[in-house]
Amino acid sequence: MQSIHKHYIILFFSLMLLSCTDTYIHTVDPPIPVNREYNGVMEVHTTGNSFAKTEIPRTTLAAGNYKIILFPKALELRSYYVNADAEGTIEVEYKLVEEITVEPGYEGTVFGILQIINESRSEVLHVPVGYLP
Amino acid sequence: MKKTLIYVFTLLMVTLSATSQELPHFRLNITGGYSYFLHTDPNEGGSQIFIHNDDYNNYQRQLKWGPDIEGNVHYLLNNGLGFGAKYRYLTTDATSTDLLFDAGEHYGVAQIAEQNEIIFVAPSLIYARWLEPTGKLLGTGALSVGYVYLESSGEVDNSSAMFTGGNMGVQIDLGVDYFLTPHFSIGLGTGYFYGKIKEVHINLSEQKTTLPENAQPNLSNIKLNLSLSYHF
Repeated sequence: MQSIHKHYIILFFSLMLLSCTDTYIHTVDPPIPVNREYNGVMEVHTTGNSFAKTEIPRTTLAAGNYKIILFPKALELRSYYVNADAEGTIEVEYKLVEEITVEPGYEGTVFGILQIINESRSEVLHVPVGYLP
Repeated sequence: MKKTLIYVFTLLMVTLSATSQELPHFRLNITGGYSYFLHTDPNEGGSQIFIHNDDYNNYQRQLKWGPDIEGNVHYLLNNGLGFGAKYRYLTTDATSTDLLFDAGEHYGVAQIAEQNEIIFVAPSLIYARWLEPTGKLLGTGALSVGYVYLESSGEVDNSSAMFTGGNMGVQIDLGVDYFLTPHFSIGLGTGYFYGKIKEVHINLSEQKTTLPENAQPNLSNIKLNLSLSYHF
């Protein structure tokens, strides 16, 4: 079917926008997610053609399974599903082929965010992604 | 090209001349097989929403093929022309898949699944001819113009929605029946279907939505079916 899944994407994002309205609250499940900012940066560096691991420590997320729903285009992720341990640490496997430009005088740069959502879709964690040359 | 035209013309003349057997008056036909959908790419029409990767290609492949079942009833006149009705049911599904889409500076990941059901009901014109003098092989061609209905249910990251819509559809069929007995035949059929859904109803809204040209589901497909027919 041409464009059927395009409709679903459009509908999905329309619903996310509509989620601010009372109408949507009373008609659609799951609940509106609570958005939180991570106090720190997921640090990455160029990896060549192989995947590398990085940790996002002390996220305050409960132990369990989570899904990545948004990430910077420069990254390639091995999996969109991650796990938080008892301390709330999340490990992400990524590949970063191209070098990110860093302004002179700085040690690195933040070039995007990674969004992690829980299984019940009630909580989204926004994690800044930073490049270290 | 010239040789092909001569070959087709000769075949047509032989076919049309094979009229020694009387045609049956009624043809009840049930047929089933697989359909190949010609337009399943959501990036068609200029909007490059999804990122091409292995998952995307796999999702596409699943939607390309779907089973179909069809019933036909026709009354044939002595000159080979006839009229009747057609009912066709098709499905095509894709299992839950993580698809990447372009969200500006970032990629988004959405787990998508969909199930599509298509029903086509139409009055039908048929033309039937014996293909050889012994009355074993009957060739048929049919044109059906009627109503096509699409019901598409999908899930995006556990949120579900359903689209329904209808429009006019056209189907052209070609088939060959081989008579096992004077009344029963088995056969092989192929055909082309065209139908485009311009307006849909979404289950989360009261209003019908008119889709932009580049987002209208194109249900065009070709089929290859086996058939069983009863003639009297």
